[in-house]
Amino acid sequence: MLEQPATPKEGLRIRAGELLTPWQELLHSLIFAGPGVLWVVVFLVLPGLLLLACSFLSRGEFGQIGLPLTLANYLRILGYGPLGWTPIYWQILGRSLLVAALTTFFCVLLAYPLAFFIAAHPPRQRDLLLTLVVVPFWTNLVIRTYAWMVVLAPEGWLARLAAWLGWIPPQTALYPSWLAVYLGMVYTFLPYMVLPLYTAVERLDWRLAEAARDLYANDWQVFLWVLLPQTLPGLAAGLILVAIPALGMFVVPDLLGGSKTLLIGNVIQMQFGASLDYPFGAALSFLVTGLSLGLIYAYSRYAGSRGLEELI
Amino acid sequence: MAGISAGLSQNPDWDVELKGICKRFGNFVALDGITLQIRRGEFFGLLGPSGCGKTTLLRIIAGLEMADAGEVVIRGRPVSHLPAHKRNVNTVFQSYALFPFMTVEENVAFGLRMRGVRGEALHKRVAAALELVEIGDLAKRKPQELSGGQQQRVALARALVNEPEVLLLDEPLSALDAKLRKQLQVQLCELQRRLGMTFIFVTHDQEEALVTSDRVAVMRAGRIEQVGPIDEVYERPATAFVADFLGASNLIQGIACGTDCVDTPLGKLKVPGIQPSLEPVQLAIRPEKIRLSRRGWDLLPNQVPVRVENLIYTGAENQYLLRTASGQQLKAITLNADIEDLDFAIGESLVAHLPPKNLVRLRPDPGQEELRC
Repeated sequence: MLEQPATPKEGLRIRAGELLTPWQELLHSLIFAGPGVLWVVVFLVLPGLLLLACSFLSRGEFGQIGLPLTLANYLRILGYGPLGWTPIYWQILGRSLLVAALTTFFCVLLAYPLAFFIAAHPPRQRDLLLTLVVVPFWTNLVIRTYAWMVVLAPEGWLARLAAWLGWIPPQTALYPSWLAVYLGMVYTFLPYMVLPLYTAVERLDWRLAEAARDLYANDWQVFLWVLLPQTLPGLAAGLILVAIPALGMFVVPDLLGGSKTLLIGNVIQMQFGASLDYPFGAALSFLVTGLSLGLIYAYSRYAGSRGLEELI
Repeated sequence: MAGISAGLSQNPDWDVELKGICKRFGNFVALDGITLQIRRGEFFGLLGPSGCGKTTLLRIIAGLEMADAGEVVIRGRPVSHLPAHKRNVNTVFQSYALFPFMTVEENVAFGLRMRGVRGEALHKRVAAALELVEIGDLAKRKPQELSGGQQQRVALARALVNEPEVLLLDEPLSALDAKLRKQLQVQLCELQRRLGMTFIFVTHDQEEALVTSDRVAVMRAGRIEQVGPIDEVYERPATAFVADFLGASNLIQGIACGTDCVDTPLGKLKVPGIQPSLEPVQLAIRPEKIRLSRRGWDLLPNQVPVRVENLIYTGAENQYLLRTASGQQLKAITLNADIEDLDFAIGESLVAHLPPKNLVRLRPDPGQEELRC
C-alpha cells in the first residue's frame, strides 16, 4: 500500500528555517529574551512605578515618605504653594529648556563642519579622529567638569586673556557664569552630535552633489538642497541624543554655574539630597521624563520605527 | 599664438571643440591629447571599451572634472576655467542620480529653480518636459517608486528642461533590460532629431552606437582611434581595433605584390588602391560581406575554396566558421532566409567570394607610442 503523505500538524510554524510548535517557540523566546526582559522589569519598570506612586505621597516631618495621598507635589510644580502662587518652577523649567535648546544648537553648529572634516580623511585617519572625539568619554564627567574649573580659573590663560581684554576684572575666574555652563554643556554633548552626523555624512551619495552641480547649483545650494537633506536622519538622531540628556543635566550647571543657573536637574538632585523631599523629587522627575518621551515620540513620528531602532 | 588664431577661426557649425585634452589620475593617463570637434545638432557617439577614457572626457565637457591640459570650447566660448554649474550643458548620469527626497516634478524643476525661474513659467516648463518624455502622470511620485525605465525618463527630462547647448549622456541605457534599451535607443534618436539639440552619447555598446549616432569617435586607451560618420567607421574601419570593436571582422595579413594586389595566405587577392611595393598589408572584411556558394562564380576575382568548420544558428542569421586550405579562419554570415542555395552544412566544401571593394586596408598598429601628455 502506498504511504499517505503526512498532513502538517496543526499550528506548526517555521521560524528562521526551524520547525517549531507554539510551545517550543515560547520556550525559545523565554530562554533568549527572558533575562533581558527580567532586567528591564526589575531595574526600570518596577522602580519607575515605585517613583510614580511616591510622587502622590506626602513628605513627613523628617523627610519620611507617607500618607496621605495628595496632588500637592504636582500643584507645587505648577506654582501653588502654602505661600500663594509663584512661577519659580515654570522659570526653572523654561530656563532648562532654553539651555538644552541652545546647547543642542551650538552642538549642531560645531558638529556639521567636524563631521565633514572627519569624513573627508582617508579611512585610517578617520578612525583616529573618531577615537579622539570619543576619548573624553573615558574620563568621568565630574572629573572632566572639575578640569574645566581649572581651565577657567583666575590663573588660567582664558581668564587672563579675558581680563587683558577688559571683559572681567583681573584675578577672577570665568566661572560661575553662563559662559562656563555652555562651554561645559557643549563640550560634554558634542560627541553625541558628531557621531550620528558623521555616520550620515559618510553615507552621503556624492553623485547627487555632482548632479546638482551639473544643474547649476553653487556650493551653498549643493549643501542646502542635496547634502543637508541626506544628513537629516543623522541630525535628528543627534538632536535626540543631545537634547534629552541636556534637559536633565545637573553636574555641569552645578559646578560651573552659580545659583542663577539652577536647572531642573539641579532641583531634582536637591530633593533627593539636601531637601530630602522624595515625593516632590519624584513628581519633578516624571515631568522631565514626560518631556523626554514627548521628544522621542516626535522623533519616531519623523523617522519611523526604523529610525528609532537605529538611534538605540 | 595657436590658441588665439584657433579662437578667431571658429567654425560656427561646431558646438563643442576639444583641443589637446590631457588628464592623468596619478600615473595613469586617462586622456592623452584628445582633439575633437562636434557639430551643432548631431548625435555624437563616444565609443570604446571600459577604461578607454570616454566617461572622463564627458565629465571634462560637463565641468565635473578639470583637464590637466587642453581647452574645451562650447559654442565658440572657451569654458575650461568654468565650473560645472556655470556651463550651459547638462548630463544624464549612468546612475541617473535622481534626488530621492524630491518628487519627480521637483527633480525636474531643480535646474530651473537654481537659475531663478519661478512661478508659472517654472510650472509650465516642467510640465512640458514631463510631457516630452511621456511621464506627465508621474509628477508627484518619488523616484524610488518608479521603474528603471521611468527613472531614466525623469533623468532625461531633468536635463532637457534646461534647454542646454549640449546634452551629455553617460551610458544612460546600460541599467535597463535589452528590450527596453532597444526601444529607448530609437526614442532617444527621435527626440534628438525633433529638438535639434546636440547629444553626446557615451557607450561601450557598439550596437547602441550604431543605432543612435550620426557620427562616432572610437576611443582606445585615452586616444581617439577613428572619428567619422557611423556608417563610414563601420564600412571603412581605420585600424584592427576599430574593425574588431565595432562589429565583427576577419583580419587577413599579406604583402603588397603589385598594383591592387596583396599576397595573402588565401592566395593573391585583388584590393583596390594598393601601390606596388613590398610592404606588409593588413586587410579586414566584415563577415556579412563574404559571399558563399557551392559551385563558385565565373569571372569574379578573390574566390577562395573553404570548408565549413562550424555553424552557429542565431535565429535571424547563420554564422559560418570557415577554414581555407592554408589554415586561415574566416567568419561569414548569411541571412536565415530559407534559400536552399545559401544553406550549408558542417563539413561541406564551398567557395567564398571576398568582394574587392569590401576588403579594407587597415592602418598598421603603431604599438607602444610615446605619450603626448
